[in-house]
Amino acid sequence: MDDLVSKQDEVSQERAITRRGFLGMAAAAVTTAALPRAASAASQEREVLDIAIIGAGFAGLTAARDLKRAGCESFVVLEARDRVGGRALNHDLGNGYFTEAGGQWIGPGQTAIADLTRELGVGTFPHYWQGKMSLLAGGRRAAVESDGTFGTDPKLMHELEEMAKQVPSGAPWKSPRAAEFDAMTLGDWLAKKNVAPGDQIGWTVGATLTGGANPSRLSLLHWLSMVNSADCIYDRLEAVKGGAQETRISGGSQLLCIKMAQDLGGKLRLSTPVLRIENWQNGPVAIHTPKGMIRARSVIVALSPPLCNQIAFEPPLPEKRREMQRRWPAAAPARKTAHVYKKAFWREKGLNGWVVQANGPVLWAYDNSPEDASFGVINAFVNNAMLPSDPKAAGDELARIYAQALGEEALQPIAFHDHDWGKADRWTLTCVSPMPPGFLTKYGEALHPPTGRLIWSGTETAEIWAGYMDGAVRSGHTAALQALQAVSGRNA
Amino acid sequence: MTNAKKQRSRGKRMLITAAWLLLVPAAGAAIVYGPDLVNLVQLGREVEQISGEQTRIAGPWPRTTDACIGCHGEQGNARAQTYPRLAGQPEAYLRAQLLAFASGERSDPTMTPLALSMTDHELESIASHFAKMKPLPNTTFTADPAGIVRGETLAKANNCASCHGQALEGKDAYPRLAGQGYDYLRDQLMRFKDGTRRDATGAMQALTTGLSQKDIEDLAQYMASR
Repeated sequence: MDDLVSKQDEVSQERAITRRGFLGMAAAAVTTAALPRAASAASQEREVLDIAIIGAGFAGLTAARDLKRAGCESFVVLEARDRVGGRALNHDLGNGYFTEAGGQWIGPGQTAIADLTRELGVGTFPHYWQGKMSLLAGGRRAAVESDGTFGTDPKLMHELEEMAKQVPSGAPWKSPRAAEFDAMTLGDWLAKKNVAPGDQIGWTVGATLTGGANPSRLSLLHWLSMVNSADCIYDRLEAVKGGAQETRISGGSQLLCIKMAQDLGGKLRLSTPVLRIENWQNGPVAIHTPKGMIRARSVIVALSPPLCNQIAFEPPLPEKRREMQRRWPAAAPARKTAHVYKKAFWREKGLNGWVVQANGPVLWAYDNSPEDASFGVINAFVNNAMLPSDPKAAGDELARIYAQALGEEALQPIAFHDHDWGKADRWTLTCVSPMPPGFLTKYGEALHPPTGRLIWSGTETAEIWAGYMDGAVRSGHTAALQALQAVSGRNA
Repeated sequence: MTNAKKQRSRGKRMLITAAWLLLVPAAGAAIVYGPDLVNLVQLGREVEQISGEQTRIAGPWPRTTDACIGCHGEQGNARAQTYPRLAGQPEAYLRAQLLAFASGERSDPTMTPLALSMTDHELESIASHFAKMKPLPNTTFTADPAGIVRGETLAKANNCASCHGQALEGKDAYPRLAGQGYDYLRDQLMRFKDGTRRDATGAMQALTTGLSQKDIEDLAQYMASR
């Protein structure tokens, strides 16, 4: 009862503050419509918003879009970078063409991002895989017809699919076999399967690209939860054809975020990193940024969990949540490159542009040419430490590898783009989250539950396709619902 | 998904033979003719050879130390300048740093959770493995000759060799600096200077306090080029 009274007191106080804030802002608007930023930030200090969203990636922007569509106008989106998109980033190739430096594909079962794409009027097209892929090892090269999958021993795939049925993707720690699966790595499991050297490369590349680490660092429980996300169909997770790498987004994946941001107008604040969050238990929450303080009744934290370590929380977050953030694996800062060519010359040779290298800088290179194939693009995930840091030197070295795999034409790119996420800025720490053994069973439970007025969002919190753009969109929808329920609960 | 669809999907998959699996003699389901087959056989031999060499150096696959390659390079000789080279680092130094990341004494958003997730055995095997690897010269860094000269003078003036060895090769708790990545060296010296990295004795902080940014860059040039 006491609790209820104090909450009501707080609500009436907040409303009074809001009215004053509103009047102050209206007065300011009469004086001039072009007040400098500092003045508007100062007036906001008096206003208490219903909701503040931290992060303008897929999750945060989806949440903002949902709030707006539900009629909620009392919110703001705070983004540290001077751009939207988070881990989705387009390289501009000119004339309306783009190639992606971050997350880029969607596939079967990823209905949340497919819906979003349709709603925003953005097209999709297939990832090109037809033809032969090039395999490199030492000085040797072989070309093998591709079926659009990476495949592996069907028996092992089947075993993993069966085990994955017992591991719910959104809460792997609830699996009846959680303790057993989380006590070992995918590598421990594979070690008993007598995997041949050639197939070891496939597993290493697959685990690194999909899970963010070598099989020896990935919890088996985590890997199974990813297979579970894919409806327990291995190729749906790993393949291009019929898998999570099947479909591309016209205009590049970041376009979806740019379009969502366009509808937000002044509610989106770029270059506004959150430094400190106070009074998160009962609100109004005080959110400190270099551009001033913002107050909100609820906060959607649409960030990767380890990024939350860069925010000071006052009082400190509960121990379990804090430890979860501190231990969250962030060891996959991907580096991705793009070589642009006058045309997709490899296609004329019956090659699909894929290059997989044993023990070299290229993890996987693939054809990322535009839909109309008016020119050619080879994108690659690279082993960062196996290349020079200098982009020019790295680009030249990769071109020589592509020449071996695809032909001499590869030595003449017309443009090169290099994005090392680990070096670019501090606002992305990791691509996906390579969960080590023991983490999910010990800290997984702290991932979802709101903490006071803080609602945790971001792809890592998704029920399915966590770590993917689809998971981010799903987590944004969920967070918006939670926040709207909190608002309506307080207004009731 | 319906059962019928699942059946189809599984049936299709059974026809698929992974490209890399073709290298396994027992798996011959895919049809490969002529030169492609010759190439594939040769490639298979190459893969076997690479795999054998890796097993000889680092033990059977899947290896704990393989998880370090992405940033720290093949056998700890990173070619990128941004990540530390672990090859030939003293075992005691590697062990101490991993423990420092785990305890919070040294902080890094990537290494802290990674070190916290390691078992004692993994930590020990990583430290001992990379200590045994041969450090290769840093050939992917182009040093500025004037910077090297200034850096060498500064290294002598600050007596770096007294802890790090005459050739800056490192000893016990003191890391090898010779041939280390330029960006890594510069960033670490800056961190000692601003207090975000500390060493047990406080010597590095005391020493870097008097260095300008230019001094630090020149020192890093000199050390990276050794």
